[in-house]
Amino acid sequence: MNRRILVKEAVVRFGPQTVLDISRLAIGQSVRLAVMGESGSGKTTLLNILSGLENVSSGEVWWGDMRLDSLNAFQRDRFRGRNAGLVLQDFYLYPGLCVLDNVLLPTRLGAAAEGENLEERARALLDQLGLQRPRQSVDSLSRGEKQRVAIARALLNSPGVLLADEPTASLDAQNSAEVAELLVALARERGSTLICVTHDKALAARMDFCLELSKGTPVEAVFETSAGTDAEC
Amino acid sequence: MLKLILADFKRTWAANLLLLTLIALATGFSVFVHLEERALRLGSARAAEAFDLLIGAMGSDTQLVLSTVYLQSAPLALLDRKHFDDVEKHPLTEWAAPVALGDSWFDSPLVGTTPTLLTRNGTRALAQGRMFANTQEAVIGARVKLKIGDQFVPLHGQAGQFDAHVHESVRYIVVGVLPPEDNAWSRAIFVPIEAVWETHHLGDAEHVRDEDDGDEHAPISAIVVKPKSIAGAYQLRDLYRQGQTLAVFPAEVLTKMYATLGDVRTILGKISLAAEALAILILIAGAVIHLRFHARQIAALRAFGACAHTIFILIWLELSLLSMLGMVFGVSFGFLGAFFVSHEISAQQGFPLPVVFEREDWKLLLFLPVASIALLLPASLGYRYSVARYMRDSGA
Ligand SMILES: Nc1ncnc2c1ncn2[C@@H]1O[C@H](COP(=O)(O)OP(=O)(O)O)[C@@H](O)[C@H]1O
Ligand SMILES: [Mg+2]
Repeated sequence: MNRRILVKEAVVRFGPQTVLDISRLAIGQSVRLAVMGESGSGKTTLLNILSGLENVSSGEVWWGDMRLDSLNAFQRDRFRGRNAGLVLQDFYLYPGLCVLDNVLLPTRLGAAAEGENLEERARALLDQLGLQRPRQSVDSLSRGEKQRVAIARALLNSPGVLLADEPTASLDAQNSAEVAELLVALARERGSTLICVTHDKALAARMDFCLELSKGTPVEAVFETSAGTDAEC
Repeated sequence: MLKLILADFKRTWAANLLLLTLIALATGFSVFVHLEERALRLGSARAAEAFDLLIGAMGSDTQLVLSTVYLQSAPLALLDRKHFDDVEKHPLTEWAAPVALGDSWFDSPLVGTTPTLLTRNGTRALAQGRMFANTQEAVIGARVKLKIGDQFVPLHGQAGQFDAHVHESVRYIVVGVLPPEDNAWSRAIFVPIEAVWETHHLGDAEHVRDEDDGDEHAPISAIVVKPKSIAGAYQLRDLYRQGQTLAVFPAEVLTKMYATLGDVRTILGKISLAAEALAILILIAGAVIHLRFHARQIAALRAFGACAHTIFILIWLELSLLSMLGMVFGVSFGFLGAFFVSHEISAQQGFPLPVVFEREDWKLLLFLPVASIALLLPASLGYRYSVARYMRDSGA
């Protein structure tokens, strides 16, 4: 499936306030894009409309030839479950469950087809992320470990697009660097598009491109095929 | 999925326990009221089965039944012995026996009577020993804590009564034990009615000896009559409903009493229904709080693509499981409670109160589907949590 993302003439308003105004934004397959900008500039909102968590007030959001903004909320949930991996600043792990069950949970609850040897894939992924004890309760993990579990969960079904909202913001420097490294490496390994909202210069530097949002300025940008070039920000 | 439910239960165990307890209490209360009321009704009816017709002095028929059938101590107007002689000779009577109440030994009422009553006019034998043969001998009910050969001194009146006193010079020896019976009489001690008369005329012993058989004014509390036929029973009853006497069928009086209790039953029924309704309301309120608590998790699950319907079913299952568990506990506690209370009452009254479930009790189970349907409402709230709202709060 063509995983090129295209946003056309899209506006997001909350009440009278226009939070996001995109005349045209294209993100090619396997591109690594950093989204930066000051607080309140609409970074999370952008990520939400790309993943279908929120819908645009007007305009179009395309994933390949699927028009996301024409789906209802349940359909968008389903679409996201199958095609996108989400990594959020606050992990959102399910308390009381072990590491492995957390990784499996969305898939088990119908996010995606379970596919072959699901559990084995999860264990392999956890191993790759340096998590040795899949049966440990997530409640007893450090923040760095929690974010690794969240990354494993996002990558379990090798989604075409990985969306991360400030994945390193709540981690210490050491963990930030490691998580950034893993995120980029694993996305590259799978050929996934990676869109990463971040204030973290080091993380942004690992991306191909950088989109700088600022309040009130319409977005017009095209990021096509990565050639492994460094981001220019 | 089961793991998820277990994890939720474990994490919010205190709240769940509270919810569980409330449901169990409400259900338990209903079940208890229901079962105990039935036990009382069945037990008291069975205890009265042995008594066909009772004749007493003019007064309250309820009092007559309570005093004679259930041996509740209460002053009863007395009859003259001549009434007994009349009934006994009546052609419609198969047999009749006088009963003199009032004395006791610890928890056991002392009943003065004739062997006729104890052997049902010779139709049943004692379980042990023999019939009393003189005024120093006694036969005991199966539940009395004495054995053959034991001697005891009775109390005038009932222990604890203000004018109760020991009959110093009277001493009985136990010579026989009655077969077990499902009524209050199994905890009574029986002595010849002459012995009771004698005791109460002690200062006047000669008077008793002289006119032993002839005192037509010797007092008796009641007469137990076995009529020859049902028709005869009604005739006798009508006959002794005139003048200074009162004749009743205990079963009839009980029916009247239940009718009065009927109102109480209705009220209790309504209370227990209200308790169930309250339990369901508590459950819903609990569910809404439970969901508020889990809202972030639910929103997140949806953000990660979990199917909204699956989540809905999960929440519903979780809540239904909780109410089912509460109900199981409630029914068990209600049953055990009724069982123990019945046991206590049996020990006191001498007749068993059967705690039984009957076919109509399936209605109690209606609680479960009603609760489950009611729980669809809070469960559907899960659909309404805006995923983005929680996601944004986590961002900078
Ligand atoms: N659901 C909403 N209702 C009202 N205002 C919102 C809502 N979502 C976002 N906003 C506003 O939109 C602006 C951009 O928010 P956000 O995308 O979270 O910014 P960033 O992630 O860049 O900090 C903020 O001013 C925020 O208050
Ligand atoms: Mg944000």
